[in-house]
Amino acid sequence: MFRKLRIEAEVVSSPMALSNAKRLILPGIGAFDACMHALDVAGLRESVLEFAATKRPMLGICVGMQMLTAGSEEGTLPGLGLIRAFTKRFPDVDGLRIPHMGWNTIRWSTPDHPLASGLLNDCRFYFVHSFRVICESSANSLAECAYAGDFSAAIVSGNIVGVQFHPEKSHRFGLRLLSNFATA
Amino acid sequence: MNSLRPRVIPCLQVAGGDLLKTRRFKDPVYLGDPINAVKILNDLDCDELIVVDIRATLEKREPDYALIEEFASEAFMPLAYGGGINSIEQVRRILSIGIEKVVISTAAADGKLISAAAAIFGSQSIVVSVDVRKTLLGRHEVWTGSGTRSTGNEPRAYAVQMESCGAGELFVQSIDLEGARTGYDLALMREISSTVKIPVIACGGAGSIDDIRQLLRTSAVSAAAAGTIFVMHGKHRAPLISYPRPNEIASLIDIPEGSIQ
Repeated sequence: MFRKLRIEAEVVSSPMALSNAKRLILPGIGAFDACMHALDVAGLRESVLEFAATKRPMLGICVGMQMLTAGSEEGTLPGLGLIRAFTKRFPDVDGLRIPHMGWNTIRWSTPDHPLASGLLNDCRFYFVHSFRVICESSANSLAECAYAGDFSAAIVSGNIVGVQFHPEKSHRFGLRLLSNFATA
Repeated sequence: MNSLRPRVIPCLQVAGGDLLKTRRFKDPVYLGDPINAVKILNDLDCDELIVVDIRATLEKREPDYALIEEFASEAFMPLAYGGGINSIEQVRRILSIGIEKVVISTAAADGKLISAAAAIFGSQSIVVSVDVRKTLLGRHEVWTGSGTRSTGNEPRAYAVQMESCGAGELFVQSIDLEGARTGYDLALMREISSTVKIPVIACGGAGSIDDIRQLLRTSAVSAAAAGTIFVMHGKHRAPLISYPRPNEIASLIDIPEGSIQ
């Protein structure tokens, strides 16, 4: 997608490479502890926290968003604690399938945030997840999605943002969001 | 609750790096480069895609990982891959490439691979292909081996068995109607979709957007997949990649006001 957007992107796995980056995307797929463990093993937990402290833009995607929170019901390892929130499983509700999988619409609570540019109307994203983020303060919830009640589809704290959906699988809308992140 | 947007899924057939299209699982016609087809579907805002390697199982070979990797990096939409998958390791490798779901047909039959794969990777990434042929007496039967062998199984019983093993979705194909463009086998799709709770993706027979509308409005299937109408045009079956516009997709079902954008 970044190739299509003509934006230079590189997959990094060392603290050194991270310190040179202008922006950081933290993707995550799989179980929460597996992702946190992988970050710890690569020696990247501290580097990611240092990166976040420099106020450079950072985007967590899916479990990468959940990793920004204090922790998750799915695991026992601590999250990065960059946003005051916790990750919990969807409640069991009759007739509701878990995981929440498929295209869904979102509502931006801060429509003038740069990430939302050009995505206010008629936008939808592709979700696959069984756990969702609950913010301590609604000020950190950047967008909501309705599934078993409202949950945070996007969260924010200063230079740090996270999205629960997969922009890389949400064609036109995902391209726009990644472009917003990379150029804001 | 969940988005009510209808799921409309192009199903691309590939083998040996080519984009192909068969009729009744036979007579493949060469249509071009499958990666180019994916790029066009990106530009058409395609919501979801299924790619099936139609020869991997018959040739008893491994999935074409290089091609799958190209699909994963080029497709800006969720993608399911099927063809030649018969082990947990293959499922692991394909999912780790960045493919959302695997489609398993021949190797699903005894249920063991499906149970094991669902336990490890979650049901949401495991789709079972149920390939159905009509007998001379008009009875539906599940076939396997890319449509070469009858299992004698009755589709509803087989669907229930796969659901209980942990399949997350069923991809139900009517072999007899594949490429026929005469409409879906509505009786079959209604039967299966009313029997299982997991989502059913119907495939085989779509000749127009009206066929898709009829399927979605008169059965409980969750998604309409089609090959020919999205990769060919006109009675001479000229190669042309297409996908319905967003307002066409929205018009496929009766939509309660305000529930969809």
